[in-house]
Amino acid sequence: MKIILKFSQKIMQDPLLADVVLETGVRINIDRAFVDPSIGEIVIDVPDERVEEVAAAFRRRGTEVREMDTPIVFDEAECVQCGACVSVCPVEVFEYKNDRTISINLKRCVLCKTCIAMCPHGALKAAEE
Amino acid sequence: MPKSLEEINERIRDGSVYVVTADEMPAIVGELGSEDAAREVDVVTTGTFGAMCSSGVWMNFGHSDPPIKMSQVWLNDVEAYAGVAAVDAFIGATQLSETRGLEYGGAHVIEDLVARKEVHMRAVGYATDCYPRRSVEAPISIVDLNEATMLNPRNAYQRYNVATNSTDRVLYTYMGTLLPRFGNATFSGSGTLSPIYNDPDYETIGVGTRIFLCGAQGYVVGNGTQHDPANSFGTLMVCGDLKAMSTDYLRAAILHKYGTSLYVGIGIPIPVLNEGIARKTAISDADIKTTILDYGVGRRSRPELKTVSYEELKSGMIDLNGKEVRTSSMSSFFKAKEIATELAARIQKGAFELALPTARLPRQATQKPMKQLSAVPLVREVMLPSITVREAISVQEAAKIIVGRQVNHLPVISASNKLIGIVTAYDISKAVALNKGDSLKGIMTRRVVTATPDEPIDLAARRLERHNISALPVIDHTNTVIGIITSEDLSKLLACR
Ligand code: SF4
Ligand code: SF4
Repeated sequence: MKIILKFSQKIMQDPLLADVVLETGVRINIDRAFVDPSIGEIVIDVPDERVEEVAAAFRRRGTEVREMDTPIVFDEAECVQCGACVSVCPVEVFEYKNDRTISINLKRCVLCKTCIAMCPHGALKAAEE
Repeated sequence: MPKSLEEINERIRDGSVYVVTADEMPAIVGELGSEDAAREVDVVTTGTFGAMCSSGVWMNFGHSDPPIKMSQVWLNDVEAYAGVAAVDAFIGATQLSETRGLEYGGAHVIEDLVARKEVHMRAVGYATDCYPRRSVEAPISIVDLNEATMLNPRNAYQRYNVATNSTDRVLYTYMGTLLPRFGNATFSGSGTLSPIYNDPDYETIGVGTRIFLCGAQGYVVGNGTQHDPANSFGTLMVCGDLKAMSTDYLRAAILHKYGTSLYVGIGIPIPVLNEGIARKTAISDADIKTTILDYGVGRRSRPELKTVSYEELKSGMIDLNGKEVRTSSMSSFFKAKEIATELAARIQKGAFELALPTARLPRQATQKPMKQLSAVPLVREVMLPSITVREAISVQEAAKIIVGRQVNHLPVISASNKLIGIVTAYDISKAVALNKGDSLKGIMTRRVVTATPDEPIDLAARRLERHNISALPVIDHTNTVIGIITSEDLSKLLACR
């Protein structure tokens, strides 16, 4: 399961990830990290059965934690099955099926949002917005 | 044995017509041969559904009381061209909203009208004796318009180039997001279903050919603008009644950081009048080739990287200099097929008869570039000599040069005269103020944004703007500084153009 962490400038200096890994012993995979002067955002991948535990450990350290079960919302009515999204996704969420419609496997999504800008028809949106 | 169009229409009327979609023809001709295929198949339907920026709608609003001669009109804040008579206007797909910018444009107004939504109309005019009114505002919907006629100057491109990006940054183009360093490639067009590719000699597609246009019956008006049949870039100008269209086959689009466009669905039936036509409609994705262009180069002639077929493009992956590059389509093949299938169904049940052209389209015309009064100057023509320094000199010495020679930028060069960095007057004064750095080594910027002598100054200006910097050293192919170009000089030049 992928989890998105948001943390403020205050705690940005702390070795949060390392601390949580040491505390829980869970092998955390970093999918994407984004940090600017005011906010940090990290997407991590955690084995499903340890999600609760890891999330709690981050929360205790003042991090906002959200499970990304629906990172991207797909509006089928707007989609024209062009496939513009297919080539820009770094983790191959979108694929052409044999009938040239698009299959979407959001499990892999790391919320880089490239597809949102690419889609000409506004069919893809970030769930949080 | 050749068939006449009248015979085919007779079969449409009595229900015995045999219609197939163009993507089925390669197999049919492969199996039966073109002679038997021509006997069996009466009509081949084609289809395309993609971004067609050169689209728009003529509208007539009817007269107000007292009447107005509109000189400017806006629909949901998108301006429509009103310089024709009193209450006629043309709204173009790519015109942007004056209040919402890149988020909403003419294409959205058109989709809203087709979706039977109300749009806000606002117009101004100058008063005359016969048209005394100066302004008018009203909510209108498509039923309030006397006519709403789609008239698209350039649609149904026979094929289109493939776009990719050699540069180090993401490009946002009308071909979508292009990832850096050939990170992806985008293409457009329906390949085997392409209307013009199935009738490349314009035997049945011509002035007056009846077509499927966004769900309505429409017509080919003539060749499209930029029609370039000799190079297999034919285009069509088409028209149809907006009131009979459906949002199933017409969609507004936003191309990120580029603007709005309209996805238009077109289907063209091709009567199989003879064996030659049957053979031509057997064209497959593998037969249709197109060129991959580098959109990283902002010139009219973009470098051609490779020729590929639509079959390769549709496979989702192409090979570019030994690298696997993922492809995606900006147009929808699925929708194109849906349109060809829908058109076939309408013909099959007698709801759509075919019409032969009343005049043929040009088969030779080629296109010339814009006539420009003055060529855009090249960097080499406007650059100034640059004063360069070596990295070993002290901050103090650099400060002296900046003050003495009255410059703001000092490109830093290596012992072999290659560009290795740049310092600005600001870097120097900061270093002086903080009392830091004996040599330029510690304070110079090492990733220098540069210009080349042979590029037009507009490209250099755009680069300055994008990086928010004020000068570009001009380097030759050996990375030797041969001049400098500053935003100050450029803005003077651009202002008096
Ligand atoms: S945001 Fe879109 S492009 Fe990015 S990983 Fe998720 S699905 Fe792929
Ligand atoms: S880019 Fe948008 S419209 Fe096209 S297939 Fe993807 S989600 Fe659908």
